[in-house]
Amino acid sequence: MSNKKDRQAIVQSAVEAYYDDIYRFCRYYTGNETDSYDIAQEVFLRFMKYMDSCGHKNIKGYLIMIARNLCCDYFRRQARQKENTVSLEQIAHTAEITMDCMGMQGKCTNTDRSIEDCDSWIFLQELLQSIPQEQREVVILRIHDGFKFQEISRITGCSLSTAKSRFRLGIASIKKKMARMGDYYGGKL
Amino acid sequence: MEGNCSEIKKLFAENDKTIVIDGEKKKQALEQIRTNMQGNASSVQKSKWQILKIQICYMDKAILLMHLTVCIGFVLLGKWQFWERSSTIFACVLGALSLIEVSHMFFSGMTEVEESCYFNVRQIVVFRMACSGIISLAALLAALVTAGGEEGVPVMEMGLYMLVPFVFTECVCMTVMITESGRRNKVVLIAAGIFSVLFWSVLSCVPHLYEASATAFWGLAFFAGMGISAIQTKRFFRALEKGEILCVD
Repeated sequence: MSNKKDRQAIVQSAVEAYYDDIYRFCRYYTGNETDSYDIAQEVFLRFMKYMDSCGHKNIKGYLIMIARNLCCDYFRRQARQKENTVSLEQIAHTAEITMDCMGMQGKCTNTDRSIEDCDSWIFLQELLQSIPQEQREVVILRIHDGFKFQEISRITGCSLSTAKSRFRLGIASIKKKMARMGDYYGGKL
Repeated sequence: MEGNCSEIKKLFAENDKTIVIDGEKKKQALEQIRTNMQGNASSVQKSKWQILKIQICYMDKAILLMHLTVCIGFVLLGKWQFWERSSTIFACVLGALSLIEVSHMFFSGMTEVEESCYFNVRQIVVFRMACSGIISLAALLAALVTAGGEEGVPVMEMGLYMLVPFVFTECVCMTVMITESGRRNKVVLIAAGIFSVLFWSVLSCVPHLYEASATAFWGLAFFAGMGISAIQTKRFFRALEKGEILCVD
């Protein structure tokens, strides 16, 4: 990775190969469209910065690790802002999910979403946002991205048993919530 | 464990289909990378003096003041009785404070500063470590000189009695800082510091520990501590470079 062109080519191919996966991970994790794009971009900028010290054979795993760290940062910033505007933000967040889903945000590309898709998106977001951050990331990485627990423990910096128990707890909470919310969403799921 | 997750999997799959990724944003990301590669990022370069100045502004004054107070107390220790035992315990406290001071950057929004100002994180950590280390070592040296000059305490022995617990406490705190919970929760780090202080307080009560015959033990412990400390520092910087510590508080 010594010369500039090689580095650029590596980062460029990483963007082409993994941008979508990274964006989706951020999208599910944060639930916010605009911020997910910003985080996804920052992931590759960080990758470019630290690629020489990257000892990972699994580039996607490394990128997800950076994405996960940036998302944690994002939540920390959100928490600070929330201290002042809790109730307003709650309302704004719900509205944002709905608007995002309906393709009403500025450059949103999801204008062709049907009401069913919209329901499904809101339903999934409610489920994911209802569990703690630590459990959410493990659930997304395992179920959505298909990582092994060993890889998840490496990405999240916890032990294998912690990753497994977070997954178990997350899934249990989601299932409970699904059972409660199922009726509200018309038994679609 | 996952046999009954098919519903959730299905839900993800359904939503994956509906998430349309904006090609423009992807292009923008690529463009930004190209710009950065060519070194045209306008905001990037700051002089070392500027970085230093901003760093001093961002340093947590409360911990720094506490650190300085302990240092002054430590220097005055030269006039106390039971200087061996007291110096061991105080050196431990200084070691823990030094690391807590460094760790503060991971709990106080330094990442945001790094993001917006394009600081080199390694530079920042080295600066912090150097600052807190210099303060602590200056205090240790001053205490050593005071005790050596006024009380006629053997300087080499006293140096060992201070440096061994100092280095070991730094090792314990750094190990905690590298672990996940240590990065997330400052309380764990403080608890590790307290634990180390208690451990050395108990150890300092062991009879014959401060006799001339135990100097070889102290010497060995010092070299072992320095070795462990070097390994831990290397691990710490490796984690920093990989971005494992950088973004997580």
